[in-house]
Amino acid sequence: MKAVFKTKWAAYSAALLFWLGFWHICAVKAELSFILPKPLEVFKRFFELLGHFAFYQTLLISLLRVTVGFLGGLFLGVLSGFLSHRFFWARSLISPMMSVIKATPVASFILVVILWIERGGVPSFISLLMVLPIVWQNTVLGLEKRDPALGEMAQVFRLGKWRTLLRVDLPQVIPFILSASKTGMGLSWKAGIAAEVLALPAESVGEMIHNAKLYLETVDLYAWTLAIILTSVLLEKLFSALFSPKKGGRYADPQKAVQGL
Amino acid sequence: MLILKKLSKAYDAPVLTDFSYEFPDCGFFLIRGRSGVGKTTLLRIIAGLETADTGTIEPSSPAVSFVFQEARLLPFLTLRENVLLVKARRDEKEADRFIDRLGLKDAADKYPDALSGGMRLRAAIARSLYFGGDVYLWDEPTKELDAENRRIIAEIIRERSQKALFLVVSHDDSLAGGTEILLS
Repeated sequence: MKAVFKTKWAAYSAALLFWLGFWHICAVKAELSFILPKPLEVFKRFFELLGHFAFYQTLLISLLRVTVGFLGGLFLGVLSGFLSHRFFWARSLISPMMSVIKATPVASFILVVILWIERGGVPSFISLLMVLPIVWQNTVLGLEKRDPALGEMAQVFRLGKWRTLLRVDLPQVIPFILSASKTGMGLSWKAGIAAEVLALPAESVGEMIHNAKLYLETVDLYAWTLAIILTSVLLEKLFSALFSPKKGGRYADPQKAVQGL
Repeated sequence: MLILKKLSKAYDAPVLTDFSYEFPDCGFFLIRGRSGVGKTTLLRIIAGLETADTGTIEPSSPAVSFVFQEARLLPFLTLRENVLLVKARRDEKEADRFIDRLGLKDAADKYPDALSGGMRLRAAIARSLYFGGDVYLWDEPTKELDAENRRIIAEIIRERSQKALFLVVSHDDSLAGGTEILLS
């Protein structure tokens, strides 16, 4: 067995084949394709979708909505994190709000937000809410974990407030923000799509999923879900590639960043 | 001139008691004494990193250049960038001069985690020299260095102490030649 799975890819491929086989057997047993379609049917439909311009358009619009929310959450998370670290009153004010956001089911938020803003903005708002508490928490943590020895170094060499912030403090916090971003990105993508399913903004992946469910086009539902999963994987890979340690991304490892050498 | 008058500092127990000294504008002073007598504390008080419980320093905040016992390099910057960091107006030639002098030319573009302890300490010394200042406060600058590098450091101190004040905490005999101040 060890010889067969001697590479990671071989092991992953075997696992994938196992689960696809399991899915196929379940689908055959279920007999009804609108309950559980066969994997081949889903992949066929997925490749059909890939041939349509509208597929990419829909996916990109959804991605854009989620990205707007993600970036908004990132900005507000970092800002509120810095404020919370610097001012006790800010921390007292912000902390309970973040706890509420983290504890509230995303579906409740979506239903409430639908009443507040126009439906096109709901996925962005929900994505923002998903990423905000994670980034806030990690920013505060990153600031707390800064190496005080490096702060003294900055003080003794008279780097000044701004240079210390930009050259010494911020680079120590960035790995924590990036780590939160990586987690938040997947969450905001999933929650953003869920918001689209309920808010039904025009030309959205959520609308496609909703329609597929409505008309019992389960193969379509699965094919779009596959698109969502693959997009999520691609986003994560892209993120890792951009900020990998190999590309000068010393920011990738929080422990390395806060340890003055 | 750096004038210290009756400096005292206590944490759980007193570490420095009524220390007074008048240092000239330039020269080399070796601060010695057993562990815990306040050698590092004295340097930290002069640098403004700690406040003395009593006593005064004139001028109150001298332009100091510090070498800590640990190198305190930023891990996300290369050795050269760490040296250049301490001046708002970068002078790469000047930085490279000190980097070369301390035998770090080949390591200049490496990150601190790829350097040995001795190399990091030499990088910290290069940073201090590049920063300049009127008073150099060096805490155990030769602790992790081999004989050749200790000789280079001693040479640098002898040269530069003609124009600046060096207060060096060390028990290293290769740094002999400075005026010894024994803390007790």
